[in-house]
Amino acid sequence: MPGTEDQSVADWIPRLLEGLQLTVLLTLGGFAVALVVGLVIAVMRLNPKLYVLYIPSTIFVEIFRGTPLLLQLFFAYFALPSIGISFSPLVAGILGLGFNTGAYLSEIFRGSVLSVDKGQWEATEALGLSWGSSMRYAILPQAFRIALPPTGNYAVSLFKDSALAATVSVSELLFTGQMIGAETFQYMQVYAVIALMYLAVSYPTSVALRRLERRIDTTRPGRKRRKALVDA
Amino acid sequence: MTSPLIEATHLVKSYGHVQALDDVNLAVDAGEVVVIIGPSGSGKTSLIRTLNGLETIDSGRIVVDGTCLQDPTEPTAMRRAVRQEVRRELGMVFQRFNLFPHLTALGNVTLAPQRVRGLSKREAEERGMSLLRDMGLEKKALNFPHELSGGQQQRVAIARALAMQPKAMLFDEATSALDPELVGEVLRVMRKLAADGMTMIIVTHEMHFAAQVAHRLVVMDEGRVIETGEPQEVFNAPKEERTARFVRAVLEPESMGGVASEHR
Repeated sequence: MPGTEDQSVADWIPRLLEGLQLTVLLTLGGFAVALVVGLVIAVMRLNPKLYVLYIPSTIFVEIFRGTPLLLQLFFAYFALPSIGISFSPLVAGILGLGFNTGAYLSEIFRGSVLSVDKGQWEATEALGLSWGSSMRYAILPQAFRIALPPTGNYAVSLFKDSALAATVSVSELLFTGQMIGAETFQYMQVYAVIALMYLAVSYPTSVALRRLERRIDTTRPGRKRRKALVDA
Repeated sequence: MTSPLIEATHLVKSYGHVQALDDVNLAVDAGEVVVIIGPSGSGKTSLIRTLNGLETIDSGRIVVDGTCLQDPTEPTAMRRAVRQEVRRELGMVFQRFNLFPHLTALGNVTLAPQRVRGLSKREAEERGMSLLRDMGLEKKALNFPHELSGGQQQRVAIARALAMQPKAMLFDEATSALDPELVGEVLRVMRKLAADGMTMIIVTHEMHFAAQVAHRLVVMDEGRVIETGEPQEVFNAPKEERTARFVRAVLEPESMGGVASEHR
């Protein structure tokens, strides 16, 4: 209620936590969409000579990288309903964030696959592996290691950018904070708590990602080994 | 039954203005060990890489074990399925090993037998361990490539190719990227393979090894086969002046002082 300035921190923190839940949901949903979009677009763009796949996927990437994320969200929520496609605020937010991040991820994935040494492809070809098997068992595991650090950065970035979904009226963390601020005028406290909440998620995530990077690095000594079925 | 295992006829290939292969013919019988030598840029590597379709040819024809692998005039010849079928019968060992860095030695050796030949994991590991044992690497089976020396890596790569039980093995300068003290262990393995009757096509700069192991030497220069014959003939009584010059240069590098100073 506006004007009730005697609200204490304990009163509005539960509301912020609800907002944080939506922020996390937006991020996870958006990132899931981004991973699928990124992978599909990356594969479509691997071979520039396959025009049918290459040209539409390239147009997709250029559109999503070349226009503001905010505009994309507005399109998803405000513009698409006029041609008969309407989403709830949350779905519009997830799709907008997901397609935008997906466009960027696709470039990371494509670059990672292309940066795997050409000799690796030749080795799989010489062994008679199919394209699919080569990708799955030889190329992608290596590309994954290359792609992981930048992909992790985009995940953390997406978590923060999800605040933009407030503009399409998703009551995520920042949006909820603005409401509370307007009601209580305790802007300093509210925004400080919000900042701490963002950090409480993003910092452990960054640390976990760094750990994961180290764990999958086969060139690091002392890595745990799988046992062979057959004895030496 | 007398048709050769691998038969390449009238191979032509050029990169821009460079004629990599200029009407090359090569037939290799089952059980034969053919060593291709020649100065760098002579087309040796191009030749061996066309034999399993890693590189295409402009014209000519390559038939492996009765199946046409390459023939630019036949639209079906370069189909992916045909290529894969032929390649699994030809093991290839690369100059730079090309092991899969995210897999252990055993993982490298068992991947293709499982995914291409349909072996179970256990069968593939049994075969893999026995090959690694032959290579003297049973203790390194669970090590990753970066934990192995160059010579060990190349022996794993040989085991990986052999795990497909190929009809022939192609060696593309298999010892050129190795430190000198590691060359011997790889050559030893190759010598044993040859003694066991494996069909082998070897591109190498190791002339003493070539002389010992080759049933037939093929000398290339400027994209052409300039001479072919038994090692003793080629080394001791070359028919071609260019062969003689090449043999002198590689057997007695110190006598080529002029060349050495040129490289200064």
